[in-house]
Amino acid sequence: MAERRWPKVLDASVRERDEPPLDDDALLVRGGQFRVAHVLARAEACHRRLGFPGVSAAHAATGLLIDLCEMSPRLLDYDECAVTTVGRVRTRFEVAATGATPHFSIVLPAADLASVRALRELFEVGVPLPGSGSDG
Amino acid sequence: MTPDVWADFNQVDDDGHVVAYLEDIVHAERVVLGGAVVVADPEAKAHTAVVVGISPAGVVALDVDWATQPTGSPAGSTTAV
Repeated sequence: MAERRWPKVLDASVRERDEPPLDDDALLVRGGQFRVAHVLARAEACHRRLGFPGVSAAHAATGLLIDLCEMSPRLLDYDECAVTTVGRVRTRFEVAATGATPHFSIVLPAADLASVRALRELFEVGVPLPGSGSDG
Repeated sequence: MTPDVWADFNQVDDDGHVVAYLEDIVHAERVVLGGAVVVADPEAKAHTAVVVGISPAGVVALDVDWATQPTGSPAGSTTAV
């Protein structure tokens, strides 16, 4: 079995995918309105149950939302999404390859209001998803 | 109608199953291994799912049928967390 080639971000029981870090201009997408209270609740539960305060997002490998939705049709259940780049997130937080591709966890220093608010500032929110009826 | 379990559809595990936590469970009697449940994200549509894993740490893995939308199920945020 090959040794891990890439540094681990998490010190937790969750397995990280052994893959190269994303480029700074890679797109991260989170389905929904990015309501702070909701995201905070998810980060708190993630911390309690999985051992780290994470916020889930998906990597749009081609840079196109329509391609990401084809790969992850669950995103089509949302009317809108929030979008950012890995580079923007990395100015404040770490990004870990967790779960099944294209899932990533944005790792907060703590599951607290200040961190979630700071994360929201890094996203462009209210981006329509394909088929939502408001994507032109 | 409330779902049997809330979840964040953005979050999936290593097998691509949607992740929910113990505190997300509304109807505990329905959330049993192999059982069918209604799962909803407060910001998305509800679906039926099969419970494929319940870990000792309180993590529930759900195999969601994205093609289904249960009758009378919540459409989203009115009952949000």
